[in-house]
Amino acid sequence: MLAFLQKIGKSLMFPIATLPAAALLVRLGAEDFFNWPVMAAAGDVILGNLPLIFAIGIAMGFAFDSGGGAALAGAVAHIVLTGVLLSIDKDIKMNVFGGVIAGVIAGLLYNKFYNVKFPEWLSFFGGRRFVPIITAVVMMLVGWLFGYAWPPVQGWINDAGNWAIDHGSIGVGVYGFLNRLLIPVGLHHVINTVVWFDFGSFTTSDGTVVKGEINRFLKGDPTAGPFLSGFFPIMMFGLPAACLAMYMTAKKEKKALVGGMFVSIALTAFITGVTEPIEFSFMFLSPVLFFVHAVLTGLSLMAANWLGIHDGFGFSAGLIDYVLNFGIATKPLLLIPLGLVVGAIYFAIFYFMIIKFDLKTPGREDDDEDEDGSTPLTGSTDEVLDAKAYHIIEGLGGKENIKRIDYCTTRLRLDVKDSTIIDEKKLKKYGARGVMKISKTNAQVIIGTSVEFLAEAMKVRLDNGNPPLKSDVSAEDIKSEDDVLSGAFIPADFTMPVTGEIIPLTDVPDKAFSEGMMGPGFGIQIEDGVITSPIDGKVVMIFPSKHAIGLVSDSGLEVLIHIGLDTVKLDGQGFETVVETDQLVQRGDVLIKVDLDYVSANVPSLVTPIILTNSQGKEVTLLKTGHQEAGTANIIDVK
Amino acid sequence: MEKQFKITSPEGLHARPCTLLVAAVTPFSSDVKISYNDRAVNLKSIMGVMALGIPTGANITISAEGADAEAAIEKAASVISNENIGEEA
Repeated sequence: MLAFLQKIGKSLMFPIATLPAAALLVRLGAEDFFNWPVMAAAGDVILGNLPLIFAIGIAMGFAFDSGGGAALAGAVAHIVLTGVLLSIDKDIKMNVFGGVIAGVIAGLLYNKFYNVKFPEWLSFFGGRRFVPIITAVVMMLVGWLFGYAWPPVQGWINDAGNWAIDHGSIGVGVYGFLNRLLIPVGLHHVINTVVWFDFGSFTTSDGTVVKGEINRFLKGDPTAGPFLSGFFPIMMFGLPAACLAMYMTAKKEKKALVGGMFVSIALTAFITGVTEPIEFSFMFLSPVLFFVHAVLTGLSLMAANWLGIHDGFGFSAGLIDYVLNFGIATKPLLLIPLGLVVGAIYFAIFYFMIIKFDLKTPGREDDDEDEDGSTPLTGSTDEVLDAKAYHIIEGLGGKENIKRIDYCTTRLRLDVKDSTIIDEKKLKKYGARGVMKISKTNAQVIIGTSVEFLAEAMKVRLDNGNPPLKSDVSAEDIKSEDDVLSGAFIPADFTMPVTGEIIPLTDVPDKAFSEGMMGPGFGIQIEDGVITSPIDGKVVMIFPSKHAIGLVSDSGLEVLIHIGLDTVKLDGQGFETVVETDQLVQRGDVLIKVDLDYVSANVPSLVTPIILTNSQGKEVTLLKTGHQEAGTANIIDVK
Repeated sequence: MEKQFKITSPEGLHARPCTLLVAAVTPFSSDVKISYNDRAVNLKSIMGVMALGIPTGANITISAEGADAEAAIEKAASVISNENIGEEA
């Protein structure tokens, strides 16, 4: 879970980079400063579309290749979500939370469906193009769900805001705490609306009545401000101090990289009071620090209230609002010492907690905890993959030798100019489990289930002429790659080994097989004598009398093909083996040739049990029955 | 500990006898191995045992290591004699 949050946090670094500029534009363009609506609008629209920007950024961050297709899916996800929510209830606002959900879902769907294949007439919608389509459908359902789940939650927050108004100093503190704590789910706007724009009323000198803390404060109500004043110490001092602590605790080699970011987001908070860049930079990476931040905000509001400070802001609690409203505030100077104290507390707590609990703030993240992620900030998983792609290409004889790269579940399938120059040793050194030279121009490299990422990385490298490695990833790093093959059964990767009629295992007239003691399986009433491999894998066993052969697939599935019943008695007569033990095979490769006339005349049955000997406890479901040609896929499923 | 056997079932240690033997020792926690012609494999793996291609008349050794090693070999021995797979050598 924490790793998942960290991934969100890392993905946000990219979109967060746009925020300081947006904050400055909107603040400096505002009526009370340059009064240039063009400028204000330019910044405002960025902040207003923060959820959309986050959705795009997170989708890209989650996509294994940071692909543009994922970005499009992220945008689609968010506009579908907001559109659906509006259709149900126009008052629903999920804000940034909606953006995060949309981005995560779009990114995950991208990784799942980017290479989906359809029949030819639908192929235009296959692969990456399918991702926004499926994303739209999924988000429609998600939006529908939230459309009914969210209004009650918004209602509770509204009630909490009303409670806070009526409970003096404690209420002020609770409000401050909730105001920050609710930012990740975007509900702080609900509570702010209650307090800032609805709480209390004040009649100005010209007789108009205004409601809410902000309006009353700006119109000169001397009692306004308890729910506002305490934000100045947080935004001008506390959060910038937190940035300093995060900078000082960053890894040495990352300091320069994160330093620039921390300076700009700290200055943004100090000057404009826009704190989202800071908060989002650590909220997902270290949720516990964000909780501390929420508590401290509550305390700061209580302290300012207790000191009798009445200050406020039309925009946010930064330096600009502080200066502009200096004249109409009560005891504004007291905010400076209070701010310094708050800043010191923030620095001390953040520094202590980060070191003590090894919290993963920006510049301290684990570089390799995500297998398929990539981030603009670190990206070292990418480096390993990239290095592996480089070495595999070199092992295959360099970019000139590779004509086409394709892949199945576990293997690279290559068209090459000359398969004899493929360096098997080198490929194995860099993570290949086996190499199969099928012909002069055809080869397969067994990689494992991570093959899709490698193949895509290789394609990118080939498009760029396989440039030399920039990073210094060593061979050891590459070899540490997962050694466990996935055991999930994929029906499309298992083909009919011989033409004949599929029957359930229970119909095989030999108890040794039909009772399932050897494992689950099925039978084939064979109609042809050419037995082929149903899987991509290796021959592990050929019984001396040649009537039974054992295979293990690249993904670890054991398959025993027992040709006919009681055929052991023929002692090899009528069987001709074409492969040897330990030989690599692919689907469709001929394994054994059977003299059907001879065999059928000498044994009771030609029923051929196919047993999955290491799938004990699982069940085989027949997806097809009756007569099937050799090579037909999707005949069984195993669960 | 270990015990020697001579395989007497006419088809050797093939599908049915092999399955019976594997099923008999699988419940035990000990490591159980069968060796033939200086090759030893896990007796809990059907594919592994069949890969040995043990013919009739062959001399094999079943060995076990672990807490219930003795019981595992005991069980294997009883299956081998009761199912006419072989006899103790």
